[in-house]
Amino acid sequence: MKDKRLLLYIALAAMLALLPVATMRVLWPYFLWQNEPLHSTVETVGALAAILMAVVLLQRRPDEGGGRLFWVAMGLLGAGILDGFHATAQPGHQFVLLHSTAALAGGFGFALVWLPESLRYASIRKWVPWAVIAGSVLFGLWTLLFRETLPVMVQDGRFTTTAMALNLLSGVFFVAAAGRFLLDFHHSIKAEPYLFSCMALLFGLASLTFTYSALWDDVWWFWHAVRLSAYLLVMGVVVHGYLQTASSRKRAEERIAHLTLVLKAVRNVNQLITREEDRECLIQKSCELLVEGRGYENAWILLLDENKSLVTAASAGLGEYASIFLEQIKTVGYPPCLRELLAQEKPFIAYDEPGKSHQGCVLAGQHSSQGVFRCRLEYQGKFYGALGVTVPSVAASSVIVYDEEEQGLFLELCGDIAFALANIERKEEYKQAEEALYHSEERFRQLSDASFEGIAITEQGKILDGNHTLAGMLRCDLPELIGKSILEFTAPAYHDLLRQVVASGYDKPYELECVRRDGSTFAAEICGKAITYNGRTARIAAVRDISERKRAEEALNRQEERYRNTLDAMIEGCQIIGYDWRYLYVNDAIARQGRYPKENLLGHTMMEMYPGIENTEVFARLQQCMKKRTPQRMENEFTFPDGAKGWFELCGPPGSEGISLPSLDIPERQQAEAKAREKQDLREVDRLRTQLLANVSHELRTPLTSIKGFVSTLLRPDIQWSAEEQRDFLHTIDQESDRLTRLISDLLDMSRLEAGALKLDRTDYSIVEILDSIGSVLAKLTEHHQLKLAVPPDLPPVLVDILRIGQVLTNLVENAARHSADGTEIIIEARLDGGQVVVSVTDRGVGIPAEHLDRVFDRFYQVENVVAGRKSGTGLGLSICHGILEAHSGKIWVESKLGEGSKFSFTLPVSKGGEEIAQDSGS
Amino acid sequence: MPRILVVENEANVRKLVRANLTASGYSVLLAADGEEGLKQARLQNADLILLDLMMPGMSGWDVLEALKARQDLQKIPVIIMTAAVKENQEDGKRANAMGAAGYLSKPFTIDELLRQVRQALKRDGDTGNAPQAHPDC
Repeated sequence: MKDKRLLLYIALAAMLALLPVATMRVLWPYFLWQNEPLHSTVETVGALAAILMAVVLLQRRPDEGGGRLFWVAMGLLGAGILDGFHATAQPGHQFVLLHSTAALAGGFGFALVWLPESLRYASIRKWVPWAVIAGSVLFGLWTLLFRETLPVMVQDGRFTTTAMALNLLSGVFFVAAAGRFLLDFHHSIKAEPYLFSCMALLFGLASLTFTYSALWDDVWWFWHAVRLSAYLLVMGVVVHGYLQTASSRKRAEERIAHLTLVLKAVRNVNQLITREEDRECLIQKSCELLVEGRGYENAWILLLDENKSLVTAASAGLGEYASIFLEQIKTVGYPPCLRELLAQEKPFIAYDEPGKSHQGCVLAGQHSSQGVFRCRLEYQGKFYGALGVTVPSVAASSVIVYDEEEQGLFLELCGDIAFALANIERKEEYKQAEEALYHSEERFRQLSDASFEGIAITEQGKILDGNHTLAGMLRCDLPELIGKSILEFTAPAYHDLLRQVVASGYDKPYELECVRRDGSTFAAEICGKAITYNGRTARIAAVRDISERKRAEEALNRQEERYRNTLDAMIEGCQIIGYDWRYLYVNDAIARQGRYPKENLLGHTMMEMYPGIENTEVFARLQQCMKKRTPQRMENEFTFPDGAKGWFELCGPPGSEGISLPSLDIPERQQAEAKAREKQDLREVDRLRTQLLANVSHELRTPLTSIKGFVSTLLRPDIQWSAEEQRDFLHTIDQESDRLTRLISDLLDMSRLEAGALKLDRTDYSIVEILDSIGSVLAKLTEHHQLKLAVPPDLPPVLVDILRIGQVLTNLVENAARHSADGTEIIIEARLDGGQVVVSVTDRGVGIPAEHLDRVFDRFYQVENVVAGRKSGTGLGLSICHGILEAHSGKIWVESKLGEGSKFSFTLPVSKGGEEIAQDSGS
Repeated sequence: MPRILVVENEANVRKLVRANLTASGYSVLLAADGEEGLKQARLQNADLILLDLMMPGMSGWDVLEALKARQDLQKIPVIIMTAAVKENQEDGKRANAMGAAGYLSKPFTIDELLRQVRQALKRDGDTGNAPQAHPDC
């Protein structure tokens, strides 16, 4: 197609050249070239063509081949001007000379294509064409005006040697130039060098043929025809070249405009990525910048993760296609154009040529007929996603977009964005790492602050860091500590130790005295260890305030000393014997008793110290205590090897390490105890005697007071008592006399009992009979109470003195009534228990305090809690009861609870006849 | 008519003392134990107190001490009655030391009782006019 167009151009050029000459020839046939009209026309056309071509070639820029063809243009310019002169000249010397010089100038110019690039001086280009024009014109005028001076060029219709030499030279030049052009053509396979080669060859052929021709002969016309065809070729090339240059210039301008836009967009993107830190903003803004100045029609960026699944997307210029595109990815998957891209492992750039099918890819949006660039976004081997752009229609229509510059720019763009993405990622990672670091540091600090130990990080004795606990210990703020020497916070006496410890890297705990900021001191335990801290070798030390512990230790020591001294001062021996029979502790008394110094005993077993001890009772009991680990109580005698006797008392629960075994020398113990007991007894006897006397006196005097008083009252001479009063007084006297009688009989009973002189008149009686015998007395005693009897009828008879047992019951009931409130119950019950009849009297009275229970049967012992307004007894009743029951081989006891009442019980022996019944009932 | 408070746990002794004192023209108040006696002494404005020593609960000594400790009661003369051994003079001395106006050893004659009462009231009349001049006290 291009070839056809070239032929058309040549034809057009031929017409352009021939038309003016033909027109002038018709209009002014005889004005010019009157001599040889055909020849003149041919030469004129050739000259015009050559000048025209020279002008066209000079218009070319160096990058369009202007550099290489400058000298060709110069040659054509010179040749054209000289040929013009040649066309006007009369055949003759000047005629041939002009032609020959024209051919030579042309050939020379053509041959200069052999000059290396470096010798084509750009600076002389401006004036060389003018010089050539001037030179050629001057030379033409000279040949026309001064014919005579010209060398002989033609002789007898034949050309001279000079003429032939000139033409031969030019022919050689032309052929050489043709070779050069042919070489160029060989390298570039472009049309232009080929045409120039042809042209030069034709000119060369014409020049060489000149030497065989004569004026106006056939050969002469032949090489003219050759030259003409060469000129025509020149014309064609000129026209073609001109048109070509114009369109390529326009394309280049468009392309530059496009590239400028793209470049600008790239620059904007570059600016953006230096400051943008958010990934989504970055890709969105990048897309917008790329389409902003119509650098690209649209742009899109997809960010994908390692599995190639979509993370986020941004686009600009896609319009409604953006959402369609995303929808397609979600529902159908990636379009083929993207799949192709993602399938690649290495950076990959894809380009869809304008107008080609996009296989359903909507990435080009409405510009689906335009070129689309796509590329993987990768930085240092890490894949981030893909970038795609659609090239503007202007550029796409007239420029081959898929060239190096365009592709380079796009790749650069991809690289920049990928770099920015990598940067953001790195920043995020860094931030995360920093945050994690901060958190972990914070955590560590909190942890260390929460610790009860002070923590210090030191380097060569300087504090680098510490926790708040440490600051609190030293009573200052943490920042105050930093940078200080640890010696500032320790007592001078410990400085040497501290230096030694730090220098040797000692890592066991040690104690020293710390000095607080306010000068006060405290004992501390330090444990240090070498660590790497921020890349430096430091020492971390835990500081513990042990002043409390020290105090406690001292207190403990003091206490222990106190106990030790106390124990050593005791007469009683104290020893702790371990479960392996070794003496764990002995006091001075033990050493004294055991006839061994303390030191000999401690750590040795009992068997070592006292051979044969295994066979003693003490040892057996100890063994039992150790085995069972149960507390045992015993008193035992132990004879030491030298005959001395020890009295052991083992008591208390066995401890964790052994059993404690107090001991006392018998003589010491017995003497002490007997003395104490005697003294106590004497004092008690004396006290009781005095008490007895006082009580007897008081008890006797009280009824006497009433008796004597009322008698003297009745005898008062000054008062005349009424009969009623007199009777009342006498009744009282009678009452008090009875009381006195009873008291005296009680005292007599008492003394009889004490002397063992109580005579019993024992006969078989049933309990019911006994109760019946004292029925009226009981009724009177309990007139304000509810007396209840619970006596089973089948009880066996008892062998008793009915009067005495009646006295016991009366006494008990009287006591019960005296010590309980009116209306409460008094219960008499009897039961069979183990061959004996147990009779008990229960009241709901005030009860007897526990501390008095074992003394209520003593003589005159009275518990002073008689119910208000009630007569107190003689204090002998229970004592007499006790004596009477003792005489009956029975016993009496009391159970009582304060506030709830008392229960007095006694046993009576069953009569011999009743034993069988007792047996039966008992079984 | 002087008011005499008798503090005695033995009912028959109370009856004896009341019969004789009433017959001799005194007004007699009775209390069966120490606490009751103290309460009556405070409330009834007695002119004389006959106090038994051996009583269950609060003894006569306790009552005497309490009476002497109170400003409004310490001026009331107190005659101690006791059935303690006659040879034991310690009680008499102690009663004297504690400010008792008389000491009756049981059994006592009615003459002795009336004599001591009259004597205590007379002495009280000699020295006790001052508080009577101030009825508010």
